[in-house]
Amino acid sequence: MRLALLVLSLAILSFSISCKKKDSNLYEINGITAVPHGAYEGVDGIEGGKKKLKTIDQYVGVLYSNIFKRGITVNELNEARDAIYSVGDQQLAYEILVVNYLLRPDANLPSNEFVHAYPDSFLTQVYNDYFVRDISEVERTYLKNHILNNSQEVGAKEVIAAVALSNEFRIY
Amino acid sequence: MKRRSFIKKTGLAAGAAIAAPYILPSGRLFAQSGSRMADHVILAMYGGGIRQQESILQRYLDDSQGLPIPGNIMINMFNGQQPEDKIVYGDDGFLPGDTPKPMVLGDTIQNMGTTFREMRATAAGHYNGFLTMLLGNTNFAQALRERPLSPTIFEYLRRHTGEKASKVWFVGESINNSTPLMNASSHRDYGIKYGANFFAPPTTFGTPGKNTFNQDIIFHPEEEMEHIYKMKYFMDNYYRNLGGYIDDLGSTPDEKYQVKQFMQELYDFNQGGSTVDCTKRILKEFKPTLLAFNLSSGVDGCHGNFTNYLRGIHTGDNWVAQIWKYVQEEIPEMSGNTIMIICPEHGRDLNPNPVFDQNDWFGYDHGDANTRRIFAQMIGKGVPAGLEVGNENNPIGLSADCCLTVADILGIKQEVRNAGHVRGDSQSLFDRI
Repeated sequence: MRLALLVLSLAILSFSISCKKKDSNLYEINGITAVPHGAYEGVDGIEGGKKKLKTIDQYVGVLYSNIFKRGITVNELNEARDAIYSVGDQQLAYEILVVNYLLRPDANLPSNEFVHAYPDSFLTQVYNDYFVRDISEVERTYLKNHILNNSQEVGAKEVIAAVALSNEFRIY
Repeated sequence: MKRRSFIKKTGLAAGAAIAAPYILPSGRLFAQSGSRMADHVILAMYGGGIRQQESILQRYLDDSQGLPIPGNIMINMFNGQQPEDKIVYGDDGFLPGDTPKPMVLGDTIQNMGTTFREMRATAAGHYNGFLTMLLGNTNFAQALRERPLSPTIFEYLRRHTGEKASKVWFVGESINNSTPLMNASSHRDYGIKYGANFFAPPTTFGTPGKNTFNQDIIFHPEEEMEHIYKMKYFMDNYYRNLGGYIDDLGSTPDEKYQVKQFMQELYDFNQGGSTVDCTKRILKEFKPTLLAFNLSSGVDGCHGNFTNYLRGIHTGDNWVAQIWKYVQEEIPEMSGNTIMIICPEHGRDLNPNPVFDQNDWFGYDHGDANTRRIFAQMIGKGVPAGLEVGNENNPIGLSADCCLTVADILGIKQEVRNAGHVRGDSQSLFDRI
């Protein structure tokens, strides 16, 4: 008797677990994921907008024109491409390249005073230039706080380096 | 009470058993199954395509140009007298190439290690030949500028032993032929996150590298780079939450800093531009668990210049010997605890092509059955000295065996075999002895 009760209760339990409540509040509307404008949404889904990895040439060319506000010469591009391709740790190669570009005297960057006085404008501009999208409020809040709380160490170079070395900058 | 305690302990043990594999580093699930024969391995992929006739058979011009002048031009690797006439393979003296390089080692590798006199190359092209040694199979990519399809020995090592990126290196002679992409495969379970560090010294430390990577200031990971990394990681997490992720080699900030300093040192002293020099410097600085390097030293010029081919063979012999000597004399941490494997990626044709060089000697391509004839040597800790395995009538070993041999030395042979990608007929060369 006890065994029969146990089997019966297990059967009821398993039926109750296997049942799924039907969501009756869909109203025939397609679900969407909210993402920043221009970042990832597109006809193919969440990564439809940006999903291709930049080639080394594309990465270097875009980086150069963003930092120096002019196009890179063919010679310089060829050298940079070969040099980066010749290093197995591409992230390391990009780190050296980005830092070297940012430290060059002809780098066309906003001053640190401007960054600390108008972090919103600076971040909006950087995101538009490098990520080709608007900055989200989450990103703005984090980065603005990070800049203002570490104003002695964090300026235009550091923020742009982080953006240029981020995974998102490597796709288009 | 006892039952409660038992259930509690059992639950904890089960939880730990489930969780433990995931908290070990580098995707490694369990400890390696085998013990190491040596802590360091150097794989010398002596490339370019070397005929048995001019290498281990020591025929010099006898079996190629119809001139009855035999002789040994690989004086560090094989026993045997050098040619007595028509010396063109050395450095320039009174005549071009008339001065053979002096012997580097105190004794030949043939006497100090084990020689496989007659093996079979698993592939007949340079790209395929090098890859087959690293993959243990012929599962190459279909097109150039693509990574191989199945894991390299670098990935096996890092994944199954948790080896750091800075301990696994591949030095390539150039950036041609997709060589930089041989440091990792595109396999979904392995890939670049388990790949090897790579340099192509003539490019990395030549003009392109100097003009691109020469740094006035190297940002320190705990100073300048700290904030950059923090902001980058935030951005990467944000990107990852939206479904995007890009794997990289997985070097730690400290490892990256070490590599940057190493590169800058070579730029400062204008060094590292040659494969052999760069290989020595990497060995000294990082003391890698596994370092593979490929040489061709002009050997492949044999398509149109037999004289340069002979020079290339002689030079390659000298370079391999230099590296072994350097490890023994300059790196105490590796001396006596290293095994070097030397293997050409393939041979060359039996019959010549119609191209003459400056000495009116025929060139040789690579594509017939003779191309599959190669030799291999091993030297170092625990390798039988003076042993010779196989001969012309009894070929033993494949170039694909290099992968399992490295795995055998480093104690992961079973893991590599179990992964199911190496050729079924491939074995560790130690198992073939």
